[in-house]
Amino acid sequence: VTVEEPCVKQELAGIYVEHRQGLFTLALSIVRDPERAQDAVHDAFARLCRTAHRPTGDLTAYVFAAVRNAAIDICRRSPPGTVSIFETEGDSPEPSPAAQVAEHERDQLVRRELEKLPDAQKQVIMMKIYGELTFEQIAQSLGEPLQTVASRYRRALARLRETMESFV
Amino acid sequence: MEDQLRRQPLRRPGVQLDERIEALLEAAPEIATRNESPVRWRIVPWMMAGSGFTAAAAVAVMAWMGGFDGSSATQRPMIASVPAPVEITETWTTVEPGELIYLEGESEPVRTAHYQSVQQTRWIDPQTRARIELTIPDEQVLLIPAEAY
Repeated sequence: VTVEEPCVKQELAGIYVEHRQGLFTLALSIVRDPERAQDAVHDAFARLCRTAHRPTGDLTAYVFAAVRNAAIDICRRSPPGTVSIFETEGDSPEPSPAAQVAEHERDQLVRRELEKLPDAQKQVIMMKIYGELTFEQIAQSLGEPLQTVASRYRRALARLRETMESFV
Repeated sequence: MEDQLRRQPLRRPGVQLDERIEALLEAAPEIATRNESPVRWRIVPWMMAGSGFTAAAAVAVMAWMGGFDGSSATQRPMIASVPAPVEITETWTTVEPGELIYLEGESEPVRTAHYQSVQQTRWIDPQTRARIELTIPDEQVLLIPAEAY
């Protein structure tokens, strides 16, 4: 039986276009190597393309879960690298207004503290801030209760905020 | 704080990734859109497997009698002259990590992992294009020792 609508491949393509940066950033935060982060996104989509039927639930959340799992699989095969999810000064295509000293230091601090967060909190931040997922989608993606995800996010932000306040 | 995080310039994926994903989606067969509940997932393939076995048995009998096209043994006496059906086997597997649990009498936790696989074998008669499919699902819950931090 051929089902005409809606086309899952088109949905996947749409999710990739919309969340390309978020998916890559999530993978990069785990494998810490841009090449292998791209491999993780590719592997996840390859697995999704081999799926016999459309997964139940929110497909975007499912794609993020697939990318996260693929990235974790890659780290099991070889240890993660050391590359940050953020561009370094030299990589930046144009000078940022944040180049002023105080602002620059604040940025450096928040990046460093974000990298130091526990993996579970960091991944929630990646999905929420850079993936622009809802808490429901993140909960589905991680297979965790909604409250757990929301409190993990709050704790992560509180920790970052505390660090920033101590800097000020 | 959220605004400050959003303001940070992120590393961007390369154009190669777009090309790889595009090629992947173009090459992939369409995915069935129907959603099936986990219960149906377990039941339906078994029903398919049952009908597959029945069909396989029927084909074996027909082949023994003289071919897929229903012709009698007298009309097609040389079974050896009939080309063998083409066999294609594909396997799909998924492993989803589950929750941490403590087993009775064990001090270390274990993580559950839900393993599912579907092996599908198709036989296609190149002459008549008759085809049968055999689908064998498998589902297991694996217990993996969890690392203690």
